[in-house]
Order: sequence, then structure tokens, then C-alpha cells
Amino acid sequence: MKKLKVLALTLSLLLAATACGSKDSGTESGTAAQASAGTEASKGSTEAATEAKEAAADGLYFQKGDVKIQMDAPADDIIKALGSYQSTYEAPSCAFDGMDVIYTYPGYEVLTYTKDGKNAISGVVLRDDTVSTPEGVFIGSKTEDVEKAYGTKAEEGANNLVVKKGNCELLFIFKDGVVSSIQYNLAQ
Amino acid sequence: MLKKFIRVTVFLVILVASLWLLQRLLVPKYIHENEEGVLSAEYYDNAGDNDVLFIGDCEVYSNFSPIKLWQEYGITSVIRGTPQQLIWQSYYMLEDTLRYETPKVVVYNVFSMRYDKPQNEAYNRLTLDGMRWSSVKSDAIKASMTEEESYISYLFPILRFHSRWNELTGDDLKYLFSTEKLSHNGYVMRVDTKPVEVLPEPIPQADYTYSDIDWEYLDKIRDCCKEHGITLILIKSASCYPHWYDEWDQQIRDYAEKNDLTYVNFLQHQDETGIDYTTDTYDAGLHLNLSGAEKSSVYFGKILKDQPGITDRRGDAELDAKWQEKIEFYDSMKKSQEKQLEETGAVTSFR
Amino acid sequence: MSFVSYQFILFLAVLLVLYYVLPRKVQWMLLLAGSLTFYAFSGPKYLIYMAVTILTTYGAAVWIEKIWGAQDAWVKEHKGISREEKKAYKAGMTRKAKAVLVLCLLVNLGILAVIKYTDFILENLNGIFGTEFQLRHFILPLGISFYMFQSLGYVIDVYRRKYPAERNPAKVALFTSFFPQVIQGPISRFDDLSKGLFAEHKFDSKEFYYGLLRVVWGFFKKLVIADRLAPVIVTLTADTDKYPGVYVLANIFFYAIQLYADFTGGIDITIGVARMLGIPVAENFQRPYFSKNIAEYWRRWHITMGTWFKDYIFYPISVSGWMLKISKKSREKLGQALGKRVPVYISTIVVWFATGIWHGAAWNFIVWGMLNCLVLLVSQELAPLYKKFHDKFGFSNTAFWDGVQIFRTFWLMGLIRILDVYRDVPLTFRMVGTMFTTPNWGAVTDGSFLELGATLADFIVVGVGIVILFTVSALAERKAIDARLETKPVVVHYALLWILILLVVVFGAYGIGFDATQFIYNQF
Repeated sequence: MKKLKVLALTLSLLLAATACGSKDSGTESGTAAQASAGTEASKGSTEAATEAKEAAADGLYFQKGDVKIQMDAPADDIIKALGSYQSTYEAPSCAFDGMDVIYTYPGYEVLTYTKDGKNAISGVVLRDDTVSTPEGVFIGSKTEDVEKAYGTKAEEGANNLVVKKGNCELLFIFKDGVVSSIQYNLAQ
Repeated sequence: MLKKFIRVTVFLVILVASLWLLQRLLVPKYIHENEEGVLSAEYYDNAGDNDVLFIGDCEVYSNFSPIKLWQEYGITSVIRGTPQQLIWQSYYMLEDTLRYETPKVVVYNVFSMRYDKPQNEAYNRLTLDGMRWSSVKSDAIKASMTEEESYISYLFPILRFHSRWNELTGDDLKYLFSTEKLSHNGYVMRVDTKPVEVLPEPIPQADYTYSDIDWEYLDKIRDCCKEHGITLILIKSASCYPHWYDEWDQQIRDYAEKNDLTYVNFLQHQDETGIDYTTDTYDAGLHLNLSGAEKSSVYFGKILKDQPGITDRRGDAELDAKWQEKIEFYDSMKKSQEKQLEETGAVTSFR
Repeated sequence: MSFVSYQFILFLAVLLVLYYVLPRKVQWMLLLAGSLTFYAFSGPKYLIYMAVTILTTYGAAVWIEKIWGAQDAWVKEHKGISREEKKAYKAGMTRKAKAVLVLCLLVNLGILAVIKYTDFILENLNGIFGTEFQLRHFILPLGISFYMFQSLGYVIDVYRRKYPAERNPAKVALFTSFFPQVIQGPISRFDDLSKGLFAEHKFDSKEFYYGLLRVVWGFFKKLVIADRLAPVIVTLTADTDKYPGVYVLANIFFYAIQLYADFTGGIDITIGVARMLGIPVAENFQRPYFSKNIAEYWRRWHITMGTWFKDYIFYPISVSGWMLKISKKSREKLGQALGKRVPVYISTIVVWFATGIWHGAAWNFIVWGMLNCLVLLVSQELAPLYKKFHDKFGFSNTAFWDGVQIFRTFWLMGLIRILDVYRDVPLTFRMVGTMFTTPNWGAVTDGSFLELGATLADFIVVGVGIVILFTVSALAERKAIDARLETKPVVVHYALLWILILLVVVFGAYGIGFDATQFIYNQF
């Protein structure tokens, strides 16, 4: 009898060992009676939420003086804090209520868009070497400096490098081994 | 037994009818909001005997006036443009048009090739919902759907628009079974002006090469035209923003050359078109206003009239009458918009 | 496959047509094919786990029955033997049968334990001893806690000689995999379910109608009420720093409604679908929010789980040999009053611990189970005191007092249940504390509640939905809805179905724009 019990346990362990895989809260839904679909959605979403929060906390952003510019952040206060701009350009969306605006400042541009009736940051473009990213990269920096600052390597022969964190994609375009454009974009 | 069968049938009929009525109530009418939503369906009122077909995005329905083409050259044309129409949608618009008529010339605005994947559910609906059901529409839907969309919500739009129940307005009741004409054979008129002042610097792209899917569909458009003996003309319409990169322009020129197609970049023909971005645009350079659209048409008509199969169709009594009606609608809308402009300083309503 | 999906509706439609068109003999086989297809949608490889459960429970039941059969035959043959001999022989056979049972239980529960609890155990070991075991992140096959317990109940019943074992493995397979039940129960008993499951069913339009009505009612609860509240609960839970005080109170209320509407809605679809197939399935809920105390609540909420734990854990423990020993010892050592409580307390604690971890491999579930246990035992102890109080003051049978009790029970259970949502135990206690330390009542009137993922219109719909739900429940409490409808003209039957379908299509929180996760990202 003992043998059988041992055999049974080993069998079950063997079988269970085949159940490898990544965590998927989706399939847990329905097993816990109280934690049915509603709270499984909440579990998945609270995970997404903490991810988003973490990304926001130590995410990629541009900083000008005291003003931190993060993707999808509410734009009105940021634009006010940045002070007077050199020019703006308003591009209304095709058909829908929405306005994309480009604010031009010395050395950089801030792009905004409308989301649920409110203005939010959709991008930042660095134009010259009078400005740099918080990690110290600017137009003219060497490719190796970028790779060191962000811990990622550009692909072989590629003319650009994208650093992605949370909802921000930071794009570096290279020309002749040197940064020629730096753009923060809202990840789609 | 029979009684029960009748009861069930009556029940099903009432259920389907009430769902259909609710659907009519809940789908957006595009009368005072997102008016361009009617464009896709409006084509079918203008289908037939159009020698030129324009396909593409808002640069195509804002920047060309079929009425002007008729008045100057007697060319019959129709525009099947919709907001943010993607290249595969343009291809299916072409296929759909061919179910009703065969134009002599197809004009495609290449700007939308910058998109290589489904973009936005809302724009998809503006383009696709108005198409009449056919295998073409079905294919267009499948090619366009974003991840969050479902095919069945196109079959039964109530499944998409049911959430409008708390956004219903008087329009939804008034236009339950009707609509109001917006376009002039697909042209959306704006008489106001907002000049270009300072344009933003172009933003460099990491990669300018068009994706495989873009070329795939451009080839499909080319082949479809060839098959039906249609002349394809590629254009880049007159618009200062968003920026039209030289790298994109070069690829189109190369393609046109390789395939023996005419390619007209309006931005390079400013002298000939006479377009003045301080008077001819209503949104600081994104789209042309009426004046710009007419200039654009006068210039383009010169090229069109020399294309195979294109003739001056004036003199045909039926056509003359038909287009006279269109001219009257055109003129009355122009007057109405000019009046709004005079009285309020802005054009708030198209019609 | 989710119940509230286009695929399921299509699947169901096709199945129903085939079911009533094909010869009745093969109806149950069609159900088996359908159930396996349905389950395969969640990932075909998970069918292997179900197969193991099916084969082991089928095999164990048949084997056990053979042992009992052999025993019966031997006893019959050896009529003349002594009592002691008979006893000894029977004991031997019982040991054998028990061994088979235990083997079957071990294999199945072993699999469940490993998949479900490994990470929990490793996490705790890492936390306590500072070890760095890698978490295995096993994926839990859909419904495994439900179908496995249902199948194990079957084997235990056969062991207890309640009914004969099923000789056809395909029928055991259907019992285990029956698609309306496999996601979230009810946990059925083989003798109950098999009556309907394997019978031949003629199309009965009345049963079909009531089944369909119930399915649509379930959709109404899930889509119009539950899914509309889900984003709000997600928001309130995700950023606990931002939503203390009155938000916690609101969360308790919203979750009480959302969970009820979602869970009972799903069960409505289950029972409704089964009824459309002509198969009666046990009720799992009996309007639990009308309960006047926790004991009643657990007789009305998730009924089949309660009875399963009662029949297969509570009773066996209570009447087991060692429990009787403990009972005797404790009566000797602690006296009659305390002594007789010991076995009850032990059994109750064990059951609630098991119930807790059955729900999930996390401390919040264990604490939840223990809290329920605590409240139950305390209310049991206080029962004579309450009785004295009511005898003295005599308003226990008034509607007012009933109302007070219902109100009290609703909020007490809601308070315990909120562990589900905040998950982290200390966090939950802290959040509950903020209801008293930082109530933040202003939030109710300053519009903050409209920034949580639901508009005013949404809240109105939920409100109306709750009123409808309450009314239907109150009516059903007196007389079953089916019985009430029986007396109404046919037109009412059709009208009710018609209006419910329209309400679900128009007001359901489905489709584009109703994604709880999307809303969270918008906050950052």
C-alpha cells in the first residue's frame, strides 16, 4: 500500500511538472469561486496598474528645469510651467473632436493631443544640443554613449535605437555614428 | 403545434424588428457631429457614369471639386475619400466602385501609405460602415479590424453603438430613416480661411521605407486598374502638414517610373496650381478650402483631360441636367457657408 | 470560452439544434463532444489534466465497487462463519477499498496541490527562511477546483456504497466535463446529475423557454450590472492611497453587488443552459443577501460548495475514530461544557481552512476562511444570549428586526469579503480602518465618484438594475418565478423574454469602450 501511495505521489508530481508556463491570471478565473471573473479582471488590472505606476515612477521622461514631461501626462499644467513658447501649430484631427498641438521652444518641441476632452503629452522632440535627456544624451552624442546611458545596444547596422519603458518610447536616430535626432513618443 | 410555431415566429419577427429599429436609433447619424461619416454611404447616390474616381484620405475629399472639374472640363468624377482611409481600404473602395461602374481614371493619394497597420477603430467605422454589404466589404473589414474589434459588430452595428444610449440627441430620432446630403460627389466644402503662419519643422523618421503591405496593396490597385483598362494616377495632394518627406516622394517616383504611371506631387507644382497657403486653406495648411480645391481641380483637370477615355461630357442632356442639380446644391451650400462666415466669423455647420 | 461571448452563443445554438435533431440515444454523447470542445477552447493541453481525473475516478470507482462486490459475494457464500471472522474479513476489504480511494484522492489532490499551492508555499518559505526558491508559475487548468471536487465526491459516494459505480467511462467523462458546470459549478452529485444527464430528452418548449429566460437573466446580471461595476472596483483597488474612507465603504458595497451579479449570473446561465437541454442542475444560490445571520448566509451562498465540504470533510472528520477519541479526552480534561465544543470547533476550523485555501493559494483567502469561521462560532456561542434577549424584549419576529438583521448580515459579510479585492491582508485591515480614521465623506457629493470608470448614466443603470434584481429576488423569496409565470398568459412570457433581450443588448457593458484595464492606464 505504501508503495502505491509513493507511486501515486510521484505520478502526480511528474504530471504537475509538465504544467510549466507563464503566469496567466486569465485561466485562474473561474477556479476560485469568490474570485470570479470580476475580481480576476481586477487582479489583472491591478497588476497592470502597478506596472503603469512603476513605469511612471522610474520611467522615461524629458525634463526642462523643474518641469518633468511624461508621456500621456496632462498637458495644460506642463505647458504653463514651461513658460512662453516660440510658436505653436494646431492640427485638428480628421473628423473627430481632437487637436494635436506642437509647441516650439528653444531647442525642443512638445507635442500634445486630446484624449477624453483633455490635453495630454504625446511626444517631445529634441532639436539641438542645447538640451539633453535626463540621462545626459544630446544631439551629437556618440552611439556608444547612448548605449551606455540606457543599457541597450542598437541592432547591427541599424540607424536608430528605441528604448521602451511603460508607455514611453525614446527614439534615437544616428547619422555617421552620432545622434542626429532624439524623440519621445507615446507608445501605441 | 401550429399555434406554438406561429407564436414563436411572431415573437422572432417582433424581436428582430425591434432590434433593427433600436439599431437605427443608436447608430451615429453624422449630421451635426463627425459629419464626414456620411461620405462612405453617399457614394451610392452618385454612382454611375463617373469617368474619374478619386480614392484616399481627407486630402482627397477636401482638395478636389468634381463640380469644378465638370464646369471647367466637362469631366465627370466622384471622390471616395474618407477620414484616415488606409491603403487597403482604398483598394477595397476601388473594388466596390467597380461593382457599380468602371471609371476611365483612378486617382490615388499616396499619403496614407505611411500607415502599415490598422490604426483606429473609430476611423475604421467611418470608412467601413457606410459601404454596402458584399464580399468586398467583408474583406475590407477583415483587413482593417484592430485587435479590439469583432467582425460581428460590423454585421450588427448595434453591438458597437449600443453604448450611445446615453448620448442620443434629437438628430437620432429625426434621421432615423433618412440623412442629409453633405458632399458634392464626395467633395466636402469649406469656404473659411485659416492661413499658414509658421509651419513646424519636420520630425526626422527612423525609417522611411514603406512596408511590404503598402506595396502589396499599391500593386493590387495597379493590377486592378490594369485588368479593367483603367489609367492609374498617383498623387500627393497639396497639403503642408503633416510633412511629406523627400524619402517617401522618391519611393513613389521610383514606383511610378517602374510601372509607367503618372505621379503628380502637387507640392512641387505650386506655381502652376496657384495655390496660396495664406488664402487657400481652412486649417493652416492641412487641407484646402473651396478656393484651394478649385485651383487644385483646374490644374489637375488639364492632366486628366488628356488621359485615355476622358472626354468633355457636356452636351449630353441627361448628364447636363444631373450635373446642373449638383451645381445648384454646390452654389447653395457655398452661399450658406459664406453667410455663416459673414455673420459669425466661422463656419460651424457644413450645410 | 466565456459564457458572455459571441462564440459561446454560436456554440450553444449549434449544439441545441444538433441535440434535438439527432436521435435521442446519442444526446449525451453529443454533450460529451460539445463539453470537450468547449474545454479545449481554453487550451487543448489542459484536457490532459481532466483526462487524468476522469480515468482515475472512473477506475477507482469501478475497482472499489469490485471490492465491495467481492465482499458481498464472500459474505453470502460464507454464511456460517463467526462474527469475529466476518468482521475481520470486512475490515480487510474496507482497508483495500479505502486504499484505492486514498490513492485516487492522492493523485488528484496531489496534482491540484502542486499546481495550485507550490508558489504559495515557496513564497512563504522564501519569506520566512530567506531562501530563494524560484516560483514555478504553473497555470491552473480551467475549472479544476470545481470538476475535480465533483469527481472526487463521486468516488467517495461509491466508496460509501451510496450508489453503484458508472461502468461506462464516457459517461464518467461527461459527468466531469459537462460544459455548463465546468467553469464555476455548481458542484453536482453523480446520482442527482446522472438522472438527467444520460436520459433521453424530448424537446419540451416550456422547459426550453424557462431555461432560455434564465440564461438571458444571467446575461442581464453579468453584462448590465456586474461588468459595469468592474472598472470602478478596479480603480478603487488599484490606488489604495487615493481611495480611503468612504471609497472603501463604496468598494464593499460595489463588490458585494458585482460579485453577486457576476457569480449568480454565471450560475443562471449554467442552470438555464442545462434546462434548455432538459437536464436539472442543483441550485447554487438562494438569494443570500436576504440572510439574517451568517449561518443562514452559508446555507444560501454557493450552496453546493457548502454541502460538499459538509458531506466530505466536516462529517467524516466529526465521526472519525480519532475525533471521537479527542472528544472523549477533552470531555474528561475540560468538563462537559467545554469538552463537547472541542470536536465541533476543530471540525469547523478545518472545514473553513479548507474552504479558504480551496478558493485560492494566498493568505487573504485563508484569513477570509478563518474570519468566517470565527464569526460563525461566535454567533453560535451567542445564540442562547440572543434568544434570552429576544424573549425578554419580544420584537424578534417583526419586519423591522428582520430588516436590521439582513442589513447587519449584508455588511458583515461584505466586510469579510473585501479581503478578496484588496488581496493583501494587512492592507485590507488598514483600508477598513480608514473608514473610521479618514472617512472623507465629501467625495460623495463633489463628483469624485464620477471619475472612477463609470459615468452618472452608468450608476443610474446599475441603480435601476439593483432595484430590478431586488424586486425579482423578493418575489422569488415568496414564490418561485417559474411558478408565478405559470399563472400568467403566454403573452407575458414572450414579452418578458423580449424586454430582457433588448435590455441586455442596449445596456450591457460589452464591446468597445468597456475595458476595465484600459481605464487604469488612462490614470497615469
